[in-house]
Amino acid sequence: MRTRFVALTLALVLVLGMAFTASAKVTLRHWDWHQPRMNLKLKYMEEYEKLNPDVTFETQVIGWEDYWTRLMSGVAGGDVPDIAQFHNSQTQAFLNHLEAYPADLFDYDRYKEEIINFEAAYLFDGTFHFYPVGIMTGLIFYNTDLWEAAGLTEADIPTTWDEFAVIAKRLTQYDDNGDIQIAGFVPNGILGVFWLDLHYQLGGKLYGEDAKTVDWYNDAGIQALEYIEKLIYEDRVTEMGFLSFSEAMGTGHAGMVYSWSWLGGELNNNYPDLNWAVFRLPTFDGKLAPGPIARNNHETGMSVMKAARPENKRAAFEFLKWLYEETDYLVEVNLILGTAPSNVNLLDDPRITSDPLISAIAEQVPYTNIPGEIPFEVENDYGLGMLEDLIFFGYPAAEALRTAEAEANGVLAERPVKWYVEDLYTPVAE
Amino acid sequence: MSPVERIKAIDAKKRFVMAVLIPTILFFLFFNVIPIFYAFYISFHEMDFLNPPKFVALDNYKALIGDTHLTSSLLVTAKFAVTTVFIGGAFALFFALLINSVKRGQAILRTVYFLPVMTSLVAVGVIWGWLYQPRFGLLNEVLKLFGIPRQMWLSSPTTALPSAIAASIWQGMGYTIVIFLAGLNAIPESYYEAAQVDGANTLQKTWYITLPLLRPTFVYLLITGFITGFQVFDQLYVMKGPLNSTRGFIELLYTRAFSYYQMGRASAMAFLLFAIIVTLTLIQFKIVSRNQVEH
Repeated sequence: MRTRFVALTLALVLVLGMAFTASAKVTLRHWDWHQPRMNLKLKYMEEYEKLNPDVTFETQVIGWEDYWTRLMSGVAGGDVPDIAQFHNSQTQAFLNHLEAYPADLFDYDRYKEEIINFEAAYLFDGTFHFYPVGIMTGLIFYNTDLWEAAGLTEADIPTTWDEFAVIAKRLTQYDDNGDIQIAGFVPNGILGVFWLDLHYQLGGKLYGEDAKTVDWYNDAGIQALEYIEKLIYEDRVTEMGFLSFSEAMGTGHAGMVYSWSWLGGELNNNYPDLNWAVFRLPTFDGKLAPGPIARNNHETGMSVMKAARPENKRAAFEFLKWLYEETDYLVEVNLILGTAPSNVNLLDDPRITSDPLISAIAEQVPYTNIPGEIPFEVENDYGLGMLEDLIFFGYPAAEALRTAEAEANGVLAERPVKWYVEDLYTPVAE
Repeated sequence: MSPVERIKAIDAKKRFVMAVLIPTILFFLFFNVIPIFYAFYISFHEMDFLNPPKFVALDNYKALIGDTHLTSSLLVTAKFAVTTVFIGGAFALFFALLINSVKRGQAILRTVYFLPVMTSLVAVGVIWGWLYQPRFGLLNEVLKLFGIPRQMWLSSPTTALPSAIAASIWQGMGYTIVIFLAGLNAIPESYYEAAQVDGANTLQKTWYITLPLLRPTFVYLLITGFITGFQVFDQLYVMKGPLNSTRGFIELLYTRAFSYYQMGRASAMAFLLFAIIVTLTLIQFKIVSRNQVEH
């Protein structure tokens, strides 16, 4: 009887002990859409698990096209990851479902000093919900073999758009029928976005007052678009129906293209034999200040979901604090993504300065602006994307702008922009 | 009788049939019927699955009136459906008659024409996109050999939709050919022999015997062709043309649902399409039910 009682008590203590140990373990679920970035995170997660045996991770990579639908379904169905990789294009939809980074763990005041565009790009009602990682902007990519074959050197890299047009013409090659074989400059597939940067350089903006409308049909907009028209129809450096900018660059049919810096990763992965380099955008007067000379956008970090369990949320933030501020993750992820670190203290890191793509972004970024949210259809089918179609279909610049502006305003009337920060840009002293 | 006794009373064959049917019915109920009713419910709400739904009565349906983007996408879809059914059908009939007239190798020809049907629509769209590339695509290189100036194909708003339709007709024609071949094989040979005796030539046999007796096949292909055509998505999504010249109704619905999270509005669009397809189907039934031809 006594033996049984002791055995029973010991068994109970063992079971309770195991239950206690089991309940102290936290499993953090994480979703991302970018496999290379996830691979980097897995490396750090493994390290974190060794340092914190009570924490384990469950990860999943979901393709970009399905990611937001899955997350939306997860929010609706109560099945969300604790930590979700985020993108600021989804801010309006998901902001109310993201937990604010706690001020006791994350130094808001320091971020205001150290993070580029922190208040404009990250603060909503005084709190931030996704960590600042990197910044992307538009650059000129060029084929160094074609550049050399045309007798050009690094000294010929243009700083004005007039110089740029001359270089583009020099790089263009025609076949015996007079058709373009190698395009000197290919904005095909991204013409509207390229135009917006030129528009900024001439003093224009994306939005009108309070972002209720766009503000494209004006002197600056027309002048910017007429420059592009001249490249196409007078200088003949590209034409309607030519390959898109990424295809043309990758297959060696473009001397130069305009693209955001993500193209670097695509070229390295899909066209490893291509020799390419980048330079910052020229301007109409050759100067960068006061700016803005282009748009930027932030490649944002991870968010903790509001629907995560309370004990998981704290553990998640503690992991993110460690990852972002006590490891080399931020440098390494920016190298993978081809973005310049949002934190100015990292811009001098030798790994960053030795990367020519990120150096070019870092040079340009202080002179770039983030307008806030741009609805999908304003950036594509009924706005900037339409501008390209109109120009290639022969519309004069003014009429193209008027038409595209009207379509974009129609979209905004139905789907107003809530996150608008375009006026927060601070001109840089000359 | 208890429920268990009732089940035991049903003979084994019926029990087997029920055992097979019930999962299918349940699957159909949970993945088709219930979602359709739920979509109908959503269409009366402002809903994005991220916030509580807000009842808006008929606002989502009213918003469809005067929606120019919707009208233009519906026009694109209608042009696609009409062209693929009639022109695609005409080509398919022509090839089916040719294949049917061949004494040996019919099976091989059927397979060759059916191969594109088995190919992924997205893959077809991507490959045709490359064929249509105005500067470096194969089609323009072939035209150049004949001295024909290069065409813009998918790069021009005037030729983009016809180009996408041509690729779709190529991809789907094999299915229509197979259906026509089945219809042709059902026509008794004795009719042609009798016509031969009466001195009818090939054209007369086709016009007075083949076409009238293929009427049921025409009806089937017409109705199913319109139903499928009005739901086109993959081909037009992949083979995009400028100025939204190939933006179909389903693509617009998809964008509103999954890019803008306007589930209520997208659901209303879905039911509008349903109403259009049902109306067209009923009209077709009414027209074709007249002047039936029997063997």
